[in-house]
Amino acid sequence: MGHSSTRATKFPLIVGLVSISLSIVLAALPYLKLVSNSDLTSSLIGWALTPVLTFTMFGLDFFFQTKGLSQSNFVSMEIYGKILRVVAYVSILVAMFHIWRIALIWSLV
Amino acid sequence: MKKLISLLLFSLAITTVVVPSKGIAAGTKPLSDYGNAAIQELATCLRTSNSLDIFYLIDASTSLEGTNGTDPKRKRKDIVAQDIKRWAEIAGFQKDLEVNVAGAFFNRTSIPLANWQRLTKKNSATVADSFSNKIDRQPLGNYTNWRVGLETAYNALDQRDASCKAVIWFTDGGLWPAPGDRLATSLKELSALCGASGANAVPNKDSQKGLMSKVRRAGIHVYGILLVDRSIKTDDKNEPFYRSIMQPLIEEKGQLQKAPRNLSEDMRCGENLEGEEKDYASGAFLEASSPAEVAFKFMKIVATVQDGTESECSKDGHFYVDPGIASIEFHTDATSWKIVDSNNKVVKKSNKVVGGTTTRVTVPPLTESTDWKFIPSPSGGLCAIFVYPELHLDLHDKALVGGRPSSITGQFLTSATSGEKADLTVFKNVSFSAKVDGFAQDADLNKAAASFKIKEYTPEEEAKFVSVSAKLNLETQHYILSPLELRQTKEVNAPALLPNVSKFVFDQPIYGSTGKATATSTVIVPEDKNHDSQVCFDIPEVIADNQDESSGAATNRDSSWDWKPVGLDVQNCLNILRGTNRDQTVSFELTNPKQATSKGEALFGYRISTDGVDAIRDTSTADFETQEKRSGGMFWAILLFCLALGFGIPWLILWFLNKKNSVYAISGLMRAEIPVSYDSDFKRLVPVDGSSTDELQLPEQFKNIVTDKDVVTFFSDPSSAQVARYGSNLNTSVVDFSAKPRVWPLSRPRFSATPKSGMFVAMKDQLFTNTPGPRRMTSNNLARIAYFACNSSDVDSSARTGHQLTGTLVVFVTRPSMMSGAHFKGNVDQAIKDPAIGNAIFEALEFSRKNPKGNNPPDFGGNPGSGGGPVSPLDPQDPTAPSGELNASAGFDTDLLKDI
Repeated sequence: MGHSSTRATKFPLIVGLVSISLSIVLAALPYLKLVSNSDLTSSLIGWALTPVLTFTMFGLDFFFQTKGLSQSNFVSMEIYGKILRVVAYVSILVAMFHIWRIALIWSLV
Repeated sequence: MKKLISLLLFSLAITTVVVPSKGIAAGTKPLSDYGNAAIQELATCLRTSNSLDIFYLIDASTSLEGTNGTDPKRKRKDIVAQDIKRWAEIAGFQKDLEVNVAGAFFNRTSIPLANWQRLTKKNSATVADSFSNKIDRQPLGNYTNWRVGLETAYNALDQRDASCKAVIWFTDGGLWPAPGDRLATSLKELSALCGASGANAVPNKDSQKGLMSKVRRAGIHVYGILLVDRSIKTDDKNEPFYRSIMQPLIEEKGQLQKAPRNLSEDMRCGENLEGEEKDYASGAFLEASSPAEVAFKFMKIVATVQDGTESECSKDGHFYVDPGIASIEFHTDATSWKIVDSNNKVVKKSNKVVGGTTTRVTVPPLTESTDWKFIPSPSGGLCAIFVYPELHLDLHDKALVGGRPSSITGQFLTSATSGEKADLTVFKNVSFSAKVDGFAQDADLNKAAASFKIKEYTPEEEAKFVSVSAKLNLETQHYILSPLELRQTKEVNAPALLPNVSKFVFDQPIYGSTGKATATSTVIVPEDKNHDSQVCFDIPEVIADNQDESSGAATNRDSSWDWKPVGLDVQNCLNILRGTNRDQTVSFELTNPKQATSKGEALFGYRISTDGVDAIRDTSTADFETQEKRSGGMFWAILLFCLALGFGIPWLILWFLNKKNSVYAISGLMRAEIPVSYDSDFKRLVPVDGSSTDELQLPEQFKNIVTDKDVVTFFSDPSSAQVARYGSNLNTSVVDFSAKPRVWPLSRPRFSATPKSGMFVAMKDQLFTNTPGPRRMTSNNLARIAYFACNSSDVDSSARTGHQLTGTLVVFVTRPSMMSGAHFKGNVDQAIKDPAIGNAIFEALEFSRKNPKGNNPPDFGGNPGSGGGPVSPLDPQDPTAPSGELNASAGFDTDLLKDI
């Protein structure tokens, strides 16, 4: 009877991918005129998703995967980390849309 | 042949599905152009008016009932009741619109049905019921004397003040005024109705003398609905002739059917003026073949008046809902039906309907066209669809003064009651044209703000009135909508008595949230200075705020505009006393705390009054701009702050997690303890049991600490059982291992090997520089950790006496299962020959030699005044020892992790 293996959790990967997708949608909303030009909600949520959540998920995946190594039957999934690394880097670009807009609106005097 | 038949069948199927059919649409005869225009006229009238009087003229002849009756079940009572309710709805849609209804029956004579009653949404059901009850109870009589009925309607409407007037005339029989020769009496009545000179012929000359001309000249629109059930036989073979008189009677000219006694079939009944010359109300003739169709015709009038555009009911029920369509109305005689949207979601449905229904569905705002479906059961019955843009016209008050240039402005609203501006940019095609006194005039339409301006027009000085007309043509992706027209006669005021309010002009854009723009106008004293004059201003209104929408839809700033009048009294009036020659200036300051980059338009309304002249309302518009004001420093500060926080928050979270969970995980570990002595000549270690490693029993010297099958984590929790179990093996009595997270949370934690109290340890690869600070191993791989250990006192003793220093060489090996004997030997060889260990021991001996106990350490950064005797820098218990802790940077080894 062999040990059943434990795979690395997909949670950070899923959250990371959902975050960046949602953030891209939110970044597009102003240009689709679906939110007003003074509305900050979409940008603040977008900023919380990228880079905050995407980077957190990148690190969290690293953390979970290394923590999992303490189990002999743990199967690490390096691909998750690689995808999340790309997601994190791309999220910097997406974040710039949100951060630029937040700065534009908040700097009105 | 089979292929050909299949192809034909396929083509037929495609045609059936794709081509919309009017086969099930209501109506045997389409409405004539004249009739269509007549219904549009009423719509146009309502657009610029605030009162509508409708008079119902209902047939009460015996032909409606009995064995060959056209409406034996008296469905007309329900039809009229439903119609009244729909007119009440119009009253609710249009701001300040007053709708009144009255009615009369007619057969040989006229019989009162109801006096004038104002229709509201609240009382519409009551009024409709009272009409319905009276129609239900009304006894029927012989003959259908149209003239008597129309005269009653004319008399009832002519004295009324309403701006828009209409007669809805329902009959099922041809003209039959009285007993006697039907043809003779009919021709006589026709003579009176059409103003013809001869009483024995069909009127075929234009005339303005008859009752119908009077009706038209009184601005009364006559909408006649003739119920003709051709399946019912009539006693009089000339019945089609008498029926056919109704169309030319209403629409001024037409062809009669089967005229007896060689009478002319070409009938004319009115002035028949055309184009701009036509200055009277028109009528429309509608024919229905059943009571249900009569209901459709009634609906068509109301729908068209409300700017509804009739669309075809396709056989498969599909219809398009385009951006710009605000609502859709259906009329069906199906007993149950439902409307589903493009996702097959039911939008509206109804079951167990008796006698047909009219239902209106509000369309949500759309950005693109969608395909909906109307599913009636049973299918194939009567069906009508009307689409509505639901635009209301708000024409600004403009006083025209002879000889002075002026403009006429207005705006299209989505709701007349809320005043919400329409957005005409959603339509596929929009065109706007205007005429003044029949001549085309320059006109501008702002699609985003739905505002229009008929540009500078100067009425002639002697002019009393001018006629203004405008037309808005709208086209969606799938519908060419009925044009929205307005027609208005405006009074031209004499210039001499009135002060002239010049056009308002803004001085500058509104910058930022606190900036202001001032609109200024000069009130010029009237030429005739013998009268006191007064100009009273309303608080201006921003009617267009066309914001830059490159980064989002426009912000609604309607409620945040703030106007401050300057140079006016408390009533916002300016008094011009008789005799004065001095023109005066009026200003309004405009601010808005909500910022946007925008081009706006403001409407200034005012009333001018002069002795002997009633107050005249006038408006003027002025363009202005608002511009955002931004702090560059704040922008970059916020941008950098958000950027830093964006990365700082995850960094903090991970750092915290890393701090709590610094882990060294390892699988498979062996350690050898080899007794060695230090050869000071060669600055290297020598095995005590032999002169070379070849003589050592390797790998028997190595002992398992952690097997390949186990995984051990250290440092995640110092009190864990694993550390208790393996820690002593790993740490021995020489060094303690500890972990510390790095600043960058994704880096491996740093692990330190600290000699225990009283121990001297020299580590492989260790960089001794004789400078203060931690001494780190260049390797961060536990597999390469090796160290020489002995008691500190042995070092001192060896330095003092010159005896050979002995101790233990500790060598770790990971992944032992993958190692051969040569590997074990290689690892031990490397450690023995390691110059770092050799140099470390040499320097320690030299230090002890130069600093016998009791002397201060020379250059390791210790506190000179802290101890009483000589302090070894190698004594970790001394707090001043500069390098009491030997830091080994031994983080997660990815090579190792792969193996686990």
